[in-house]
Parts: sequence; structure tokens; C-alpha cells
Amino acid sequence: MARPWDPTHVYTSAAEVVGPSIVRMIVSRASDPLLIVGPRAVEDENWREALVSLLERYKLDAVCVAPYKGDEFGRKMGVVEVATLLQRGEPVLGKHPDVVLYSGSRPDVTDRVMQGLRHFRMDLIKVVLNPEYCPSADYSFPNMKMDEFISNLNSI
Amino acid sequence: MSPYELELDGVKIEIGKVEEFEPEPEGPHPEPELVELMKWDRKLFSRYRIASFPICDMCCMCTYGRCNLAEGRKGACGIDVRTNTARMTTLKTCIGAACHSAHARHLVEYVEEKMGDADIDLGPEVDVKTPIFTTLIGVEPETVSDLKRGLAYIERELTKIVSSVHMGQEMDAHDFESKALHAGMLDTLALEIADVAQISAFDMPKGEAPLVEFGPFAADPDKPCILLIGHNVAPGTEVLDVLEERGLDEKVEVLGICCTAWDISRVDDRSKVIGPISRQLDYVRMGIADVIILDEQCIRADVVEEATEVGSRVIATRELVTCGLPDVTDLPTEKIVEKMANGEWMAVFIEDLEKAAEVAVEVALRVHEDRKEEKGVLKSPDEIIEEASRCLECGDCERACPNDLPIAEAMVKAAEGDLDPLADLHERCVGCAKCESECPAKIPVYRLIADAWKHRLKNEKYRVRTGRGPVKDTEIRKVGGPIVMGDIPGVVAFVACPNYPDDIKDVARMAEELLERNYIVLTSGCTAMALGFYEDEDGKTLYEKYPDEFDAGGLVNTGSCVSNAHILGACIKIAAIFARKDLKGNFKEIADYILNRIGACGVLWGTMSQKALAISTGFTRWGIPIVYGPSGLKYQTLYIGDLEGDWTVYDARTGEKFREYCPIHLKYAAEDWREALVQAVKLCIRPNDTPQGRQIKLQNYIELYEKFYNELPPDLPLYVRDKNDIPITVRDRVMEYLEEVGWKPRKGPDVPTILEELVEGE
Repeated sequence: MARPWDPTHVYTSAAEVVGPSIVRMIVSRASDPLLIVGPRAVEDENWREALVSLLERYKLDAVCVAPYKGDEFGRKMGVVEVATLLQRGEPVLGKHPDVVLYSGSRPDVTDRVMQGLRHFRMDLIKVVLNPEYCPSADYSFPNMKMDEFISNLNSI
Repeated sequence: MSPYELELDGVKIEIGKVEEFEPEPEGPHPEPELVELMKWDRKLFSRYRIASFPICDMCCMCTYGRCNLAEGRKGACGIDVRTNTARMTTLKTCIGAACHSAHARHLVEYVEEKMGDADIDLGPEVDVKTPIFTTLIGVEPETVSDLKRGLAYIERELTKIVSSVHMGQEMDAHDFESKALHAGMLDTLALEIADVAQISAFDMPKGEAPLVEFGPFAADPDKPCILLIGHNVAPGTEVLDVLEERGLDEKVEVLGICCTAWDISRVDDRSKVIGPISRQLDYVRMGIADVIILDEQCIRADVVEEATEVGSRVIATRELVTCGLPDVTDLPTEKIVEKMANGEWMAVFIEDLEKAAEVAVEVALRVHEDRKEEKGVLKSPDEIIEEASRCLECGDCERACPNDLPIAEAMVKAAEGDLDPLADLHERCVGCAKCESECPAKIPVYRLIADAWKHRLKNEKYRVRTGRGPVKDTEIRKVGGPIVMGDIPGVVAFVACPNYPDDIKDVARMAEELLERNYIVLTSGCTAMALGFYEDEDGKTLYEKYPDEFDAGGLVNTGSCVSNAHILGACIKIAAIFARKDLKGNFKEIADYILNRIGACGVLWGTMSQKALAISTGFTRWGIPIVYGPSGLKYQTLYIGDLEGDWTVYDARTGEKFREYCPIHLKYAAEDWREALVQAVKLCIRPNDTPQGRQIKLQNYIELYEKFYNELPPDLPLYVRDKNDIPITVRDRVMEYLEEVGWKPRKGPDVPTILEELVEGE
């Protein structure tokens, strides 16, 4: 089992550690994937560009949960607002996503959001694209250095 | 009644005889029990639904378990994870409420023991002295002893709520949350009882307060020093009495950390507030205290160990915090002093507060000279570099850090001789020291961070305004109308703990933005201290820059955690004074008034404790929405507006129904301070806003949203009733957007209520 970034994030099951090729497969096969973009991603130029590229490559729907002046990531919402809509099984941007890709929030916030979805939306495929492993998702990148992480994002 | 008798509130006069009796509680719901207010809670939950963020998959409350509740499973008792999460919220809220009520009971009984009793006196400008007590209990207390009736009510109801957490009791998540709301409401009553008792008994400020010195270097190291840690002011008042009796009040420093700091500075403004709980370990390690007196709540569990390490003597004083120390209460004072001064006893428990104070003062005088060398000792830059060079760069410190601070990188730089990155971490550090605990090389990481910072800032001192207690009735008369109409855009309270997600100054940035926008900003507790760490270009803190007035653009520090009662109290007093609502036993009508007409919001940016959970949960039941920082997600349940829910608001005069989506959330958590600020502004919008008031609120919402997000808020259609609600400067743009999304104008209620029974004629 991979070691969580935060050693206290210990659950009865843990996300499968994946690389870019598996994420690519998940996204390709998804009907309505949704990308959630957090504050760390918009504040880091390389991270932001990698996500913009991902968005364009797969024509993803996205919501931005960060205070951000750009408009590349579509609709802006609070992370709790989008997490709640997903928990309730309500549409986000008019669609019911089947895959959620979550990138750019703090590890503790990411874990909280994923834990909520893990328990209440078992049908939703949850993927975390952060440089920290998040066990409460279904799939997560492992812990890695920033350069490697950006390279992985770009390889999806 | 015979023609020779006259009955007044609590007094019966007959010709030739005056007889006192206990007044009967009045109002529709005096001392309301769980079920009496469940309907109100269900009204709230019909629009604000629970969003759950469970921390743990397991339930380990009984020996059927541990039970795995993950991903749709049920426990052996049948409970699911959502219900169990709400159950834990209920339990934690009870813990917080129990803390404040035990604190309140101790203060009330202490006042009775010391003074016999004391009249409740909040100064000449406060007639509505106990708005929470009166609303919940149905009577107006006259003396501190009268407050015991409220304590008995709290204790009775809390016992019931705790019993509901037992296996095989409550089984519905929302009804568990209802019980959490009840516990939170009880907590608000405990806060008021505690603060009213101490203001009345110890002559604390009554609506006005002085500026006091603040910061780790506020203490004079050449004087003997007594440091108070915790929340209960009683031991501190005894210390002040002993110093005064012995003519030592100018010769001994009395310092405080956490809420005791505020409260002791409210008793005597020469006492110094040195910092919030997040700096507790650092200040103990600085060794400035010759004697540390512990009272209760938010005391680090390693305080005795850390204090002993630097030669500070420790006296625990409350039965709730005995620390495993020998109970020397019954021994002669001289013997205790002798043994503590010679170091045979470094820490003791003394329950008798007078004796504890005498011992503390005498020991401080005796050990001060010998300890001078140990005070304020920092690791030298060379020592820091040497310690940092032992770093293995494993990153375990960063993984343990609640804020993921880049500690490893700073350690590498420090090992190379550059201490700045290490010092920079201090402003973003919550002082938990988990980094040290995790370090495989046993490097005192937190100490290195704190000492590197202190080498940079050797004389950090600030000016903060100590807690002023109540908002005056005269102030309420002046601003009640503008708040209810929306001309003053909102009352925002920054309260609770310093578990900030980033820079300690972010909370001050939020407060200043609101002050500049004419919001009334209130504060209390450790957050009120964080505001003191922020200075403008002229070196002024917000307390020096903005007036201590409950008015537009005013910044009011009510005081310690228990002084949060006055923040809620101000909202209740608007209903009582401005709207002439009868408070007695009238919770539902008052909460409905606050929810629909008073644009107030609480921000707990660094929320941490169970007490903060209780306070915030209590506020939400009274109709005041809450915005947490990201750590609020660890409380595990939030109350998020559901647009499909019941947003019906009645016009109390006509019975006409409207849909008003405000406030849109009741308990929210934001990841970023800018998001929190925008939410706080949005959550001040109320159905009662006049067009002019709504314009002012939307102006602030739109400006801040555009400042941080560079676009119009997408949810504007929820808040614009007709074009007169839109600020003139952005009206064309907003109308263009609204038409694009299919918005239609609508009317709003003149006298909004969500309670059908308040509709005239019902």
C-alpha cells in the first residue's frame, strides 16, 4: 500500500496508485469527466498550463474552485459547493459526471472532499492529480517531486 | 389579588409586607427542550442540507466493533456513516458546550463564595444585560446567583443530548444535527453566563476598553513573571489581589496566553497579552515565566514537561486539569513555596485559588534572580545551523505539518547558513510542533523556526484593544435600523482559534477590507490577537486605526471566547431594542428575526477546538451563518444550501409566499481567504434588505468577486429581485448578464419570516 502524504490519512481501503497512462485511459473512456481545479494549480504556472492542456486535449468540463482571474477553467465555485453537488448526485454544469479529476487543492482539503465522495458517491470514479498521494480517491498519483508531477500531468 | 397588593417582576408588595419570590418564566418556549425546537431545526434543514466529510471509516464506540462503515456499509447496530458522522458532530459539540458551562458554573460559584453574590451590572448604557439568557430561560436575572437557573437548564439538556449519542438511540443524521444545534445553543447561553458573571464581579470593561501591550516581548525580563494559560480568569484575579495587597503590582509582570490573557487584561490593563494558543509552546520554551499558572481549556498536554525543561514552576489550579501532579492544597503555603523555590517540586496542583496565588507570587519573587540566565534564551545562529545540518531531508516534518509548510527546504537553507526561509515559516506556522515529534533525527524543528524568527525580530510589540464586553444599548439604537434595512452592509465577526491555513495576517486582511467597506467588524479570542499582529505602513494595528464602536467601519474586540456571547447578544438586542420584540422565552421568533433581517456572519478562519465547533453551531441555530477556514472541513459536517429545498419566506403581514435564497449557506468552509471574504459578504444578504440596502450589499459582493475572480458572480440571479437591487454603477452589465441567463424580476417580502405561525391572523 502506498504511503499517504499525510500519515494520518489511513482508511479501510486506499486509492490505486496510477501513472499518466492509466489516467489517460480513464479519461478517454469517461462519458462526462469533470476537472476540478484548486488554488495551488492556478498559482503555479507550470501546473496551470498542464491542466489547460489536459482540458483542451480531452475537451473536459471544468470548474475552478480557486480565486482566479483567468477564464480557462470555466465556471468558478467554492470547493464545498461543488463537493456538495457531487455528494447529492446533482448535476454540475448541467451534467452528471461519471469521472472526477481533482487537482490543485491542499492535501487535507483534497482528502476531505474525496472522503465525502468515497462514502456517498461510490458510482463516481475519483482521480486525484496532485504531487501528493491521496488514499481516499479511487486513483491517485503517488507522492512525487514537482518536476516529475508536472511531467506526469503533461503525459496524460 | 387584593387591592392592597402589587406584583412586579420578582417582587410582591403588600401593604405592610415585601416578599421576594422566584419569577415564573415567561414566553412561548421558556427553557426549551430538544423537541420544542426540533421544528425550527427541521425548517432550517429543509433548505440547508448536511454535507458530510467523514474523517474516519470506522466506528469504535462499542464492543460490537470496530465496525467498518465505509462506502455504504452499516455497523453492527445498523448505523451508517452519514448518521455516525453527525453523531460525532453532536458529541464534539457537547464537549465544547460542557467546557463553557463547567467554566461558567465555576465562575458563578466562585463569585458567590468570594462575594456572597453580585448584582449583574454591565454599565449605565446596557439595560438589556442578558439577551441570550432572557430569550432562552424566560426571565431576566438580577444577580450572578440568578444565573444558576440557566446553568441547571444547560446541564439538564446537555445530559439528554449526550445520552442520545449512546448506541441504539438517535438514528437520523439530521436529527443528530438538530441535537448538535441544541448543544450549540446551550453553549451560547453558557458563554453569556460566564462573561456576565465575570464582568459584574471583577469590574471588567463595560462597552469600552483600553489599548494594551501585546506580543512575546511585551514582558519586562528584569521583573519576576507569572504567566497564566487557559480560559478561566479566577486564578489570575487572585494573583492580582495578592500583588496589590503586597504593593507589588508594579514589580511583578502578569502575562497571559489564550483567553485568560484577554480576561486578565480586562481586569487590570497592566497585565499583558502575549499571544494566542498557537504561540503557547514557543512562549513556554522562551522561559520568560518564573511561574506558570494553568487554569482550564486549550492548555498543551506537554506544558509541564516543557516548562520544567526551562526551570519555570507550574501550578495547576482546576480540577479539570490536574496534570498528574501532587495535590498540595492542604499543605502550608510556606512549605509549598520552599519546595518549589528550591526546585524539589517543579509543578504542583493547588485547588485553593488564594493559596495558589500566594504561592505563585512568592515563588516568582524567589526564583526570578536565579532564573535570569534562563529567560529568553535562544539557540544562537550557529547552533541553529548545526542542528539544521543534521536534517536527513526525509520530508516527514512536511507531511506531518497541518499546513504542508516547506520545512525541509528551509532546513537545507539553514544548514547552508541562510536562516531567513526558516524564520519566514513562523508567520504561517500554527505552533503544533508535530514536525518535531515526527523528526527521525530528533531535531527540534519548531524551536529552530521560532528562534530563527526571534533573531530577526527582537522587540516585537504591538498595541491591541482588550475585550470591551457588551455592545451598548445606545449603539444598538443607532445602528439597529441601518443593519436591518441593509444600509450597513453587515456585521462580520472574526472569532475562535489560530489554526490558520497560511499567514496569520490573512485574517487581518479580511477584516481591513470589510472595515474599509463600512461593515461592523467584531472579534474575540485568539483571532482577536491575530488581528494585533498586522500593522499598516505607519506601524499601526487595526485596533489603533479603526474606532472601538459598534458602528459602520468600527472594530470591536468583545474579549475572550466567552465574550462571543456579546456578538450574538448584539443581534438579539437589535430585535429587542430596534424591533421591540419580547425576548422572554421567545427563541424561535428571535432566531427567525436574525435569520431574515440581520445581516450577520461569523468567520472562524482558524477554527480548531470542540468549543469553536459548539460556538459556531450555536450561532447557526440562532440564524447566523458561519464561514470556516479549510480546517472546518475536519468538523465533518457543513450545512449547505440546497436550491431544491424549501426557501419559502412569508410576508408576516399578508401571508404572501416568496422564495428568498439568503443566506444561501449556514455552515460553509473556504479553502482560500479571498473565498472566505467573498462568502462572508454574500452571507450578509437577507430577505429584509430594502432595495437600497441590497444595492450596497451587492455592490460589495460584486466588487470583491470581480477583484478576486475577474467576472460577475454567477449566482446573482438568486439575489437580484428587481433592477432597483442592482448598484447603479454596474446595472447595465448586470442586467445584460441576468437577461442572458433568463432571470425574471420578482417581489420580496416586506416583513419576512419562515415561520407560518408568525403570519398575522394565523
